Amino acid sequence: MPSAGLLRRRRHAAEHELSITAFMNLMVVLIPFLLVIAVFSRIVTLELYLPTPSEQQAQSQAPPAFSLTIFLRQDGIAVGNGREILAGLIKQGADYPWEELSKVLQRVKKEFPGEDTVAILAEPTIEYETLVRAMDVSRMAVVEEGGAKRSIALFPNVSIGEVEAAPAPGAAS
Amino acid sequence: MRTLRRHRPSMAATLSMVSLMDIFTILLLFLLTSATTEHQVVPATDVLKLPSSTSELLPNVTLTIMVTAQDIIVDDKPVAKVTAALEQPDLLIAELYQEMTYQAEKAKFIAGQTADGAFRGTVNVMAHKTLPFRLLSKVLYTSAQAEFGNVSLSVMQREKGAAA
Repeated sequence: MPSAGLLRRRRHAAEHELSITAFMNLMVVLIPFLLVIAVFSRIVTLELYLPTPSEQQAQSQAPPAFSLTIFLRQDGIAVGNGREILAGLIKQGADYPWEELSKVLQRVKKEFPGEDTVAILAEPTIEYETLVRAMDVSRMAVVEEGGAKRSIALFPNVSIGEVEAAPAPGAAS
Repeated sequence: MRTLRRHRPSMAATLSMVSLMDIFTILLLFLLTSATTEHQVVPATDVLKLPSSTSELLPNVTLTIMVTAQDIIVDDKPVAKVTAALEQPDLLIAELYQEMTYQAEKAKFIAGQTADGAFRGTVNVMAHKTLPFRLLSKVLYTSAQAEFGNVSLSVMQREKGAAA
């Protein structure tokens, strides 16, 4: 049983409390409202540049000496430099070998640091999701350095195109 | 003594709201910042699931071509069927080309009326993630023929570390 003095002190403290009922009402309305309109998955974009008909006619000069090309095929990925195939990566199971592709591209980037353009050529039956994944892998790589993850830009200028279905890239490398 | 005991329950009834208020204030700030950065509504349906990507470029408000599992939609107006577009041997989808040239004319007219406006031919493409590349190349070719050459592919954002 508390003494009379303690009681008086407690009542004194209670008088100093803020009246937050109105603020709480506001919060209770505002927070469900904001939760409903909040979208946690953001939409972002991948930029592409396509030549329009007037520019297609102007583009008749010789192709550049080095043009990094990634071939996306049903059974794997091939990386070429415009003249020859640099690497052929065969699909393991249902997944494409993205990590190996990333390593190959990092090697190419080390060899040609000034290069930032890559063409991704896909077979007609390749799914759109696979293409986007390939664009991601060729744009940047996440490397671990001393335990810390760091992302490095590889080839940010990505152009896409179509390639006819052809024999496995493994046979060519 | 009896009067004192009767007083006690009314004293214990005051809640300590301080920690709750802290939570609410932090939650409110977080939701306010995430609500103000939002631009585009995600049409989350079974026929249009966007692939995920590590890109960080935010979309700008412009003409949108939606390619769902069933229809090709330009600015909320269905123009062509996906099955028909896939089956045709020609790269140019005629219905889409017609709509896109109309949109290009409209955009050029608006650009001509504004002081610093220039027709840049920007278009957002939202495509379902399991569609074959053949269809996408038809759509992109058609839009480039209609002078919409600056294509942005709309994708869902995903954590950077998960992409490695």
